[in-house]
Amino acid sequence: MGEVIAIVSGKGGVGKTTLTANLGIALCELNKTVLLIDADIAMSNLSLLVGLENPPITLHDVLLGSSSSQDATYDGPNGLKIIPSGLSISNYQRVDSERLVSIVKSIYKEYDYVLIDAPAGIDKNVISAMSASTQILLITEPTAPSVADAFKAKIVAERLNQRVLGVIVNKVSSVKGEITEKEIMKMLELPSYGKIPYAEDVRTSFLLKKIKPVLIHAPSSPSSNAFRYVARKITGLDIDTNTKTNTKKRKGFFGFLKKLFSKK
Amino acid sequence: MFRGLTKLLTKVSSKILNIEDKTKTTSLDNLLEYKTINLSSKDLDDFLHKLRIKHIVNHIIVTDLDGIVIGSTEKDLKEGFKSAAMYNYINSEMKDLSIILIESKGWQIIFKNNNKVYFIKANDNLSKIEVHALVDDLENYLKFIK
Repeated sequence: MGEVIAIVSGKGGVGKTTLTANLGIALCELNKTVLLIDADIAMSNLSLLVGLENPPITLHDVLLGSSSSQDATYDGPNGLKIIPSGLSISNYQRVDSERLVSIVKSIYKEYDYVLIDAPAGIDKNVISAMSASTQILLITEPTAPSVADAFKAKIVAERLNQRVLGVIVNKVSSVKGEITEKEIMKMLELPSYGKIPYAEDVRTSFLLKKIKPVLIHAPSSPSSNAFRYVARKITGLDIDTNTKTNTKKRKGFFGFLKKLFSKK
Repeated sequence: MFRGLTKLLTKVSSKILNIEDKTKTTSLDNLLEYKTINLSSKDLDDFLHKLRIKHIVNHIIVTDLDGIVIGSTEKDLKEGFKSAAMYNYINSEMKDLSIILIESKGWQIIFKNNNKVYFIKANDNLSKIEVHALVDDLENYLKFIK
C-alpha cells in the first residue's frame, strides 16, 4: 500500500512522538508492516521511546549521503522498523532536510505504512516532513495555543498541496476550559481521527528504567485502546467497541444529567 | 441564589439549543478568519495575485526563455526580461543549476521549469519545496487554460 503519514502539530510537547510510536505498534498489531522515521532532526527522541540506545547510523548520516537508509533501519518492538535521528548537533547543522523527500520515495513501497514524526514548528524541517508524506495527521491538545498552532500547520500543508487526513485530540481530561473535540473539528474543518485521554500510564511509560510505549507498558489501558482506535480508523477497519476510548456510559436520569453537564 | 439559578438555566438552555461557549475560542478568532485561498480564476493576473497570497511571496514573474513575460505581479515588465537574461547568463557559466538565489533587496529566486523562467521575490526562508509547490500550482493552471 505504501501510505506515508506525517504526524504534525505545530506546537511542541503535544505528543507527536508518543503518537508515532504507539500508532506504529497498533498498526503492527493489525499485521501491517510499519516504518517509523524520526524527522525531528534537531530534538530527536523517538529512538529512546522505542528502546533504541545510541544507534550508530542515523537519519543524519542518510541525509548527509554517507549511509544508506537500509543501514539506518533498526528493529523495534512488535515488528516495527525504525530510522532514528541522531543526537549530534554538528551533524544537525550540516544536514539538508529537503533530501528526506527522495529518501522516503526510495523506501516507502516496502511498507504498508511509513509514519514520519515531524518536528515542532512550521520551518523548513517540518515542510520537508510534510512534503515527504502522502497524508498528514494533525495532533493537538484541547487548548487554544495548541489548536492555533495546529491551524497554522494546516495552512502550511495547504500551501504545499498536501492532504490533511484529520485531527487527533491528545491529553483530553475533560476539565473546565478545554476545547471540545467537536469544536476543534469545526475550527480546523477536519474530521476527528480519535481522542487520546490524558492518562497517568502514558506519563509513567516515560519514567520506567527502560522507556516503553504505553501499548507495551499498559496494553489494556484506555490510552492504549485510544491508539488502537486511531490505527483502525487509518486502516479503514470497523471500529471495535473495545477500542473506543470512552469510559463506561451511565444510563438513565443520572446518565442524562452527566451528559448534560459533561465538558466533552 | 438567583445568580446560581440563572447560571444553571443558561447552561441547560445552551446545551439543549446546542449553543457553544465561545469564550475559549475568542483568542483564535483572528487566526480562524483565514480561509483556504480559492485559486480558481479565468484571468492569469488575478490567479498570480492569489498565488502570491497563498504561497506568501512578494512577487511572481514568469517568462519564456527569451524573456517574454507570460504573467507577472510586477507592473514593471522589464523585471521579467531581466530575470530571463540573468538566468541565461548564470546558466551559461554554471550548467544545470536547479535553482538560483540572489540576495538583492530581499531574496530573488530564479527557477527554470518546463521552458519557463520563474522569478520569485520572497523572504529568505522560502524553501525549495515551497518553490516547487508554487510552480506546480502555476503549471497546473497554465495547462488548464490552454
